[in-house]
Amino acid sequence: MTPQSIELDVLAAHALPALSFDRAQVQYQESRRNMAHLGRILLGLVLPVAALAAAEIGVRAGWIEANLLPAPSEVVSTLFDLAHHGLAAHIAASTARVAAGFAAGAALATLIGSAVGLSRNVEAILDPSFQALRAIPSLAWVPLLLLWLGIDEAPKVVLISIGAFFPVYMGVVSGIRGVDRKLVEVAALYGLRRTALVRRVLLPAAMPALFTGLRNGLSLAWMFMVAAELIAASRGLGYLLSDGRETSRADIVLASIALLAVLGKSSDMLMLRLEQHVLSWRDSYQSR
Amino acid sequence: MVTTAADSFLEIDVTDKRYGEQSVLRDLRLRVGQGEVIGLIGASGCGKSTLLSIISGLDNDYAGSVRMDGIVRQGTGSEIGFIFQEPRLFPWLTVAQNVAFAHGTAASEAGVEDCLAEVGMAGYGDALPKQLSGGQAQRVAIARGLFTRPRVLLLDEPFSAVDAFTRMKLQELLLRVARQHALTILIVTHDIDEALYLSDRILLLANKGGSILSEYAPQWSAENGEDRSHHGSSARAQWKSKILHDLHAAHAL
Repeated sequence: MTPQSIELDVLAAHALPALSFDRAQVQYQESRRNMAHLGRILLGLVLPVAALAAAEIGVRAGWIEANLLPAPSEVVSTLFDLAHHGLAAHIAASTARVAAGFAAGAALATLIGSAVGLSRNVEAILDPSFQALRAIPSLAWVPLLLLWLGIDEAPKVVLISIGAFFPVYMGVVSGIRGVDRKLVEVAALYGLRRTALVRRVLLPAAMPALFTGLRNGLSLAWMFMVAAELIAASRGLGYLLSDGRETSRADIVLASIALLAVLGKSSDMLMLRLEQHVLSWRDSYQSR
Repeated sequence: MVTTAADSFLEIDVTDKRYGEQSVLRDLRLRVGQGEVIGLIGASGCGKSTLLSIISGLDNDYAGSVRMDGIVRQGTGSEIGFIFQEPRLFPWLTVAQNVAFAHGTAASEAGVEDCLAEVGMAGYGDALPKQLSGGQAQRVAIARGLFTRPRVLLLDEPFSAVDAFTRMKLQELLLRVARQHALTILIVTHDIDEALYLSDRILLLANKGGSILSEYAPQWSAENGEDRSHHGSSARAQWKSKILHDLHAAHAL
């Protein structure tokens, strides 16, 4: 059989998978996927719900001392109580610090990381110093920041930005370094100069690693916010935590912890949404 | 097609190309006529791919010269297209943007749709590479190669990663566009059948310090060029066994 003698119709069968599917079939598969998704969410709820129920029963039955582990229902009522006494202001203060510190740290890390990733010379100059700084446990900066910047907003925001800086920096550098040489070769074939290569190939290709860094940086930003506020603050969730400890109010401490969990998770979800939107082109296991 | 010095469109002379101490290509002299299809075969690591890199202008670190129409070439240029073994599409660009990559981000040009239609991918302009099969992605890569209207197309084992049937379709496609655009083609392949099917001339590169070891110009009688595709024909079988024999001899060296 000669290659020419084979029918050309087969090309038609190569249409996009999504287009070749029957609409009803697509809907059926979608609803099945949704059901499976719902099932996984329910499975994930089993453990926390069981723990909360056990705590509630344990406290009410007197097995657990209520001043050490208040019943979940009491924590909830404390939350409502706090809501009438300026809880919103505490949340706003903490969120604003995280937002400012993360924005500053991530922006600086993206700029410096890009420069280090793109230029061997810049890398030779900057990277050893940044690697050394990275080795310092970031909380060690706290006394110095307090000495230099007082106990106002500045040291908190700076500490948070230090926390956010390194994951983003590492992400950007490794993202640019990890760009497929084969794609760079295609760019060279089409005569792309340095700036065009950076803009059209290196930066888009580094985006997945950048987003990984941003998500890690964001979670560290929340962590450092708590550290900063525990040390010196008159507002914020970290302040509530230390206030709860000083007044022996475990319910306030637990309520603050719960709020931190919710805030951290929500900001991570937002970042994940952004990532999925920006990186919709990605052909990976996760995005399938 | 017999080439004489007079109609040498591409003149490739590589006196020495080395990676470190290792000499990859030595004293290689190749003349290619316009519209000729050249198949390059040889053992792995004999410098076939390096030769394509040199011709394309991607690799400038060698002693020698590449001339087109008598003019020495420097660096890459739109007159020489390159199709790689993998499609190498940019995953964050749509099919249309990939095809028009040479012209920046403006992917709405009419030329894009023409190129896609030519490779049987009309209407796929808005798709992302991840939605394509391997064969489809390679078609898009060919469309991208054609977009700049090159005069020469270099292909480095372009069909080795697709199934046998898709390979046949892509081979036909390549011959069709080559005729339509009067392309001069150099194709590296491991597949002797593919080389026999596509090529006007087949060059066997030497194993070590590659130069051209032997050259085959199968004459497929006076009939139309289609005849070379007859797998069963005895002439074809003879060529194949001769080339295989020489390949074995080259490996034994």
